Amino acid sequence: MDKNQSLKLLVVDDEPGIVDFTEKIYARRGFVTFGATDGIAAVEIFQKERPEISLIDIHMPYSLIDGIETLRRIKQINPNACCIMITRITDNEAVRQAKALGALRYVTKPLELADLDKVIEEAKEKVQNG
Amino acid sequence: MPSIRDLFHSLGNKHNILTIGCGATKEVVSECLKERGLSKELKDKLIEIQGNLESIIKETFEADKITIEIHDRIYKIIDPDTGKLRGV
Repeated sequence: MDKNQSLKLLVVDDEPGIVDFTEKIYARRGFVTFGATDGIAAVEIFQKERPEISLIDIHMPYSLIDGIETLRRIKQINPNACCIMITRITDNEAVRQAKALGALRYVTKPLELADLDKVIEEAKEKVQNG
Repeated sequence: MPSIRDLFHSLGNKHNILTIGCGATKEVVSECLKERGLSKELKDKLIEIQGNLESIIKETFEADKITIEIHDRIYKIIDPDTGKLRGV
């Protein structure tokens, strides 16, 4: 059995290609993955599936709600939700808001797979150790 | 016509697809390299592909740095939503 088996990962990004790639990569690593290209859909999936880890893009101009509002709504559903935020270098204010809302970590785009693996591993340990 | 803001957002996303996609492909190639009984010719080709993918990742990070520099310069002089020069 894969060590990641049964852990659920939600990927939220307004670029469908990113969602697709990231889902496939982490499904290969044994996660049960879910994807959303807008914040509203992401919150609905979170409500229904309760993923242990959520990877959320902050800047989603084509979404009705951005990544910060998505994080806020997810934290309302589960204050202990483990959320990793994805941002551009220029989003300093958004990073500050994400931290204030209780995001576990943030990573900057473009992402290197090894770096993404590290933060997801960190989130996984946090989930497994309570 | 898309706004400058849209274009930079889209460009950033494309860079992200390239780095993630090449990283994932490199991983698959690495797994292929672990297979037993590969000919030297095939091994060399796979290693070359890994190098090519690594180059794309590095070049994409460089391209992204330059994109951010251009982004900052353009935003100072052009409104990214209207496409109009500031202060004119």
